[in-house]
Amino acid sequence: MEKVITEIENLVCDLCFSGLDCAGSDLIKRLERAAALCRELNMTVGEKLCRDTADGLSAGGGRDCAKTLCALACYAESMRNTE
Amino acid sequence: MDSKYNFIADEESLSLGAKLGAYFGEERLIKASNKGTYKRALKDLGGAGDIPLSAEGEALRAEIAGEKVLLKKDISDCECGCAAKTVCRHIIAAAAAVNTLADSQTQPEEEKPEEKEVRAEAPDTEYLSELKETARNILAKGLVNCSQADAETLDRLALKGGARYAAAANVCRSCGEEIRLMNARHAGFSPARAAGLVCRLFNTAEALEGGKEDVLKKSGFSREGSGEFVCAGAFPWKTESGYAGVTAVLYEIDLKEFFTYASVMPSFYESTANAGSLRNLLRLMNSRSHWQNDVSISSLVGRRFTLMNYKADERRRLSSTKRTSCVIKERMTEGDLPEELCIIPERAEYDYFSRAADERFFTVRSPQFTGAVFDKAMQGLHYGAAGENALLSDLWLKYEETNEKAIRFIEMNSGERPKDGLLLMRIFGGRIYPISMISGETVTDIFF
Repeated sequence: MEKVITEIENLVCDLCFSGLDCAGSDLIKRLERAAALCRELNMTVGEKLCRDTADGLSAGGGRDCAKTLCALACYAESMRNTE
Repeated sequence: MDSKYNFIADEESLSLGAKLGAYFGEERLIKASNKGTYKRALKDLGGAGDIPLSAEGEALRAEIAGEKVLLKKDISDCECGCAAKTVCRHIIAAAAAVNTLADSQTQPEEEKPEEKEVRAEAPDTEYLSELKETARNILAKGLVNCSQADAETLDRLALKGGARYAAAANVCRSCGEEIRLMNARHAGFSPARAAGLVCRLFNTAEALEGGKEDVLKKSGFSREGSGEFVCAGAFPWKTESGYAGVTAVLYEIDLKEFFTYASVMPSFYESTANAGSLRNLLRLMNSRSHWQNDVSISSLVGRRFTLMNYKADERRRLSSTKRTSCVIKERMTEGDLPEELCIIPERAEYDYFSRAADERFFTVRSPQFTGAVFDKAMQGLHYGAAGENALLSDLWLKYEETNEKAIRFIEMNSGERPKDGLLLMRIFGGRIYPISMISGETVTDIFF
């Protein structure tokens, strides 16, 4: 679980730093991988948020997936502190 | 208040006045100006004579001391014809007068508590959407493309948020500070922290929009009483959101609870930019300005004292009200802190919107610092603390001016044999920090 939380934190950081409008396919793939990892660990909320963010970015709506990205950040922070 | 004035108004204006008046409680008027202006306004009001009132849509026009005032629900939006650019005494006087209409027409028996008035206020959707839009813009273009202009927008939003949206205002200031650090290529810039802050800004605005204002609002001073305290130490702090201060750790002997008392200075104004320097924090520590009898925090450290009529909030933070009086007595001893404080408290439930709520204290008996190593790359001290009741490893103290003396203290004492007495520790934000060493009748503040 520690590994997937760290990966989500890194993803949030990379996406915020480079910008959702410029998110490339590598970041989308990483999000999909994180979603798969969450699924394996039964982290359904994490899986949904990662998948929604990846889908939003694939659809080209960078600005539109700001909300899911922020929810993902909140989720990662809460998981880190309740782990 | 004795009314030495009369309203000249039609029924519509009086009923609008009754509605608006509910928003102009004494506490809010003082907050919007200051105590001096409020007192002066009441004095003006005493001899105001006739006050004409007329409704203008949702606003109320009043004339007081020859000045025309336009009263609106939000006191900071009220307008006055005088030269003052901020909330002037004419606005305060008119608002205080209109408040009596609310008192007489809508609350005939008892005064409506201020807290309920705030709850009745609808969220400022315009401000909250501006907050969300700003966060969304930053997320869309990326922190790397943010400039000084974005930092200034965040500063403006912080000012606009004021006391009502203090939580959002603090996040705005922190975000602005991170952007400045990034543009200055400062080593203190952390992309992860900056990302967390931008997301927090969006989430805070979203929560406020969804009516979570009560949760994010600072709790009022609901606990009152008198009691016997000891001050077991004090420590300085500085936040990214632009505040610096000194907090004294107080232990209530009868209730067996820790309380804190903080003296705070905002450092986001140009004139107080140096508030966070150790020199200024020391000045704050020695400033004789607290409670009714003007005691200083430094005079409390290591002492027993009685606090009469104290007020505290739910997080056991004491108010600085002048109604509280403090009688300092003899020196405290380590025996004043009971044995049960040696039990390390369990972690509180994590709350994303209230991280500071998880503040606890405990003591380590016969303490010694271990393994202090300064990490030059990370600019901080790795160390441990051990004692009869605790073995704490992987402790970390970041290098900054306020921590300089503590780092030196730990380095000098690391590896020494266990000391007699107690080490007071603080748990905050998931980390553990030392505060003071208490041995016999001597309390040594590690940070000062």
